[in-house]
Amino acid sequence: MTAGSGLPQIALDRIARASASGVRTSLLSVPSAVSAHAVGISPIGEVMGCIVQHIGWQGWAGCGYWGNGFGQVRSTSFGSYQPYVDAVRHGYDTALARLSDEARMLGADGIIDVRITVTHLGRDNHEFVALGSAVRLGDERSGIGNIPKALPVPFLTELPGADVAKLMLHGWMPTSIVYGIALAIRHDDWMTYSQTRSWTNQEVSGFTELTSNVRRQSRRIVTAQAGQKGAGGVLITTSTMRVWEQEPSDGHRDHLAEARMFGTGVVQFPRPGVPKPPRTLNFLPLR
Amino acid sequence: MTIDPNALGIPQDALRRLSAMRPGQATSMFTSDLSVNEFLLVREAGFRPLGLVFGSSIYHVGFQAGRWSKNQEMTTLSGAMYHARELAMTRMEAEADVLGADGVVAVRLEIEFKEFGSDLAEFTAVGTAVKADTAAAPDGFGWKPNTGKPFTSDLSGQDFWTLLQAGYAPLGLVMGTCVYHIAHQKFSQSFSNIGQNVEIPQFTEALYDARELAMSRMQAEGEALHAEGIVGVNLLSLPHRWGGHTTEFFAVGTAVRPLRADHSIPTPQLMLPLADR
Repeated sequence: MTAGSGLPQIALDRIARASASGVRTSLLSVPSAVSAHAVGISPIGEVMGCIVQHIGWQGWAGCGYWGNGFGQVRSTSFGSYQPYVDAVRHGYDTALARLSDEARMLGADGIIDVRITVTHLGRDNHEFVALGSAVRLGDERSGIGNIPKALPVPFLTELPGADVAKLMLHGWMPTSIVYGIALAIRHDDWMTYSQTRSWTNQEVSGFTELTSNVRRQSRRIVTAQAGQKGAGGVLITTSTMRVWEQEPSDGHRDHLAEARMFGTGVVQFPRPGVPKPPRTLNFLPLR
Repeated sequence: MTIDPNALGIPQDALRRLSAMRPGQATSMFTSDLSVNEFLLVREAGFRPLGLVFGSSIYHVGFQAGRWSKNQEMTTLSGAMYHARELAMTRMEAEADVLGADGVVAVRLEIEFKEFGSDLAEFTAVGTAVKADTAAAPDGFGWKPNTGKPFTSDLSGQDFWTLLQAGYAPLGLVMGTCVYHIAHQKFSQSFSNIGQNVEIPQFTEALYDARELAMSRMQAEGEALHAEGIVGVNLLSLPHRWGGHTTEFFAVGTAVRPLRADHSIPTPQLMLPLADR
């Protein structure tokens, strides 16, 4: 059970005790737990995955300007910061894998309401924490449609119980948390320079290109990752963008942009014998 | 009219990816930033999400000198705010067009002034491209407006569902903007107002003027789409970074067209929620 999981002894002990005593804990709110119960989901334990990682090497392959004949266009290069992107991905992946390991040891089918946080501890050290509630599927699990009797890999989602319940009632199942991180750099050339200092208001095409490229790149990674994990779609939950500048040498300035996108992969499954949910009703809440 | 994506600066690999996501192909997979409620309601309304689409423009919005004691529209700045938003919207529509979408729902049109450069703002339009299950709307026409581009709407998935239930369809996101410089008071005037509660006519006039200009421009965009009306209108005063006397007045809403003659919806049932929010 413990082989290759990479969990410290204290975590293994807690999980072993929880699974022996059968005490059931969760991080779910009351509405979340009640609505999850409505589709047969029962919480069995709160689970965590954590890693502190030193990200000291960002990678550097220039700003893409010099190999471009000093031309104005398309100076972004995605390859240059791959070590940094890989390190951040490693942080998230490890936290999520350890979270899954705890859940698997509890005999869970999935983890819902996952919360991921990254804290900067100083000196290039970052803590990645994933917290969630491990759950078992009820009747849904016992052979309806394409859902096997036991899930080899727990499903993961950031969505709370109510959202998971609504999806399942409509024949959708969350599969996994997918995310895309992209970082790109662009040299400030004469065009960028003149556009930002012009007396007329105008688009700064180089910066537009930079941010559009990283957003597209992160969307592409999310889509590819979800495809690999067999999802039929992705519901994006968070999407962030950060732009900053650096001056590697005198009179040479570059801009960097980083886009991160997180979402839950979902897949549609047939539900033979299950009546279609009623059409949405009109309600007027009294408050 | 079709949009030429190459003219808008969309990289080729983005187009290939978007083309690969066309529904009916083996690799069809959607992305969307709709919430679960919105996603399920948009599907129940008869639309399938195709993909998350966005358009962006980083724009240098400088300053325009206004006469210190004069109420006036800053036409250069108005033009810049319009142009930058149009660029973001058009690029988003072009992405949706490549996906073969009928429309874009839950559009968010946002401005963020960037810390990394003076007077630089990023204008973004983000939404979910959708395709209708039926080629024609209940009134027999297509879903797209007279421009031939996908319809756009900043209504949430919930509002979109309700709108269709009531027999309306969105035509397009319409907007009007006016950057206005409000005159400073002359010294003699502010002096004579000391200790009195009075209207300051030139301030009232200026705010009227600016809002009316913004709203009439939005109205003109709705008329160009042959809309019956504009719903979900927001009239915003955005101070941005031009100091206290220069403000952008921005009107934005969704132009709609009727799908049928009657617009009744079932009477909602009253419900007592057991949650405090």
